[in-house]
Amino acid sequence: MAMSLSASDLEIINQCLKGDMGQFEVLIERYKKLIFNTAYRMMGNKEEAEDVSQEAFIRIYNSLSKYNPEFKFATWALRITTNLCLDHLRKRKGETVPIDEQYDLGDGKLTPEEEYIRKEKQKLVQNAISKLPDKYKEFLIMFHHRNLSYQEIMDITGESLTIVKNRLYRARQMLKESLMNTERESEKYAMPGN
Amino acid sequence: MQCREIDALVMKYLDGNISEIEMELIKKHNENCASCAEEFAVLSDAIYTLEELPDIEVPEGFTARVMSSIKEQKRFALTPQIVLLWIIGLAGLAVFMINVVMFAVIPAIKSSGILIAAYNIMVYSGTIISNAIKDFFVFGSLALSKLLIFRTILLSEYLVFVVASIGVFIAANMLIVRTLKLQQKL
Ligand SMILES: [Zn+2]
Repeated sequence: MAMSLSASDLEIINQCLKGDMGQFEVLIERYKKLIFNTAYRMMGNKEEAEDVSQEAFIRIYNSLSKYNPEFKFATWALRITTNLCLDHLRKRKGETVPIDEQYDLGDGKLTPEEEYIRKEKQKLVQNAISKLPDKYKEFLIMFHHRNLSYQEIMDITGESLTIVKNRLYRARQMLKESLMNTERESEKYAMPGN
Repeated sequence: MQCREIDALVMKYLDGNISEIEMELIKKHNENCASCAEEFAVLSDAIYTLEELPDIEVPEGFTARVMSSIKEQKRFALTPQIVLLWIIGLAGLAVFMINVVMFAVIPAIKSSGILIAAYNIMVYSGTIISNAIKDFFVFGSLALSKLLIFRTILLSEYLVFVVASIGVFIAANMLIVRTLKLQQKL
């Protein structure tokens, strides 16, 4: 294990393939934050995010021999993760699943009022995103939450640049419309003069 | 400028791929267009919020849980060798059963002198079943075709029945030894 901390992803994968499965732990440690947080934003709650991330790592382990070193390991791992998320989201059609409250502790730079407003905003946005069709949600999260480039998203999803751009465009439009509707709804109930 | 064009520029802005001139165009348009201004405010605010959503901590013990699931599945994994051993074992068992029927059950019924009709039906269905099994074996594998030859010999020589039993015994033992070795490896 000691040597592995500085080893490259590919070196570790080769070790695993030679039968040293303990090395896989290093890969999990390296990528669990990325995988778990992506799954968390896709699924909306911690429990499902953990289930999906565990399943993702097991799948990654089982298909290590199919890893193509032309791609970054993170890209390949995200591809497996987002596909699993989409599977799970498809399966839960119709069921309502709670969206977690933010676990964000804030950094103390904001006043309590500002902190409150920020949390409310996060809730609104999270809610609007959770209602987007899965495929659009995926692109929005990858680009704007995980900060992935067009090229990386193309590698992960296997879609063309045109499709990536279009999906992202549509996703933003839907997000905007959803939020503006919510705004109008709340204005309807707000007291005049407020 | 048209609202639609501004919309395209806003997308460029959100891509993080906008020039200063284009940014000026958005600002100028929005000063005179309330709906574009509102849409811009709502969307850029939402995207900013999304980008700033904090990462949360991975649950305690996550890595250990994944590793133990992997070990668990490995224990029950079907490698080609294990599948082959299972086939040999099961085939041996089938041969054994056929011989029990042929040389013990059927003669017993025959010599009892009763249930002749029932015996005929049994032989008839037994033939169909054993033919089906035979077909399966033929297409099974190299090991199975060898067993078929083995079985033909068995049919003519009652003595070989004993050898078949030993074969089953050996196959079962191989299976046990193999499984034990696998467990030690883990
Ligand atoms: Zn306009």
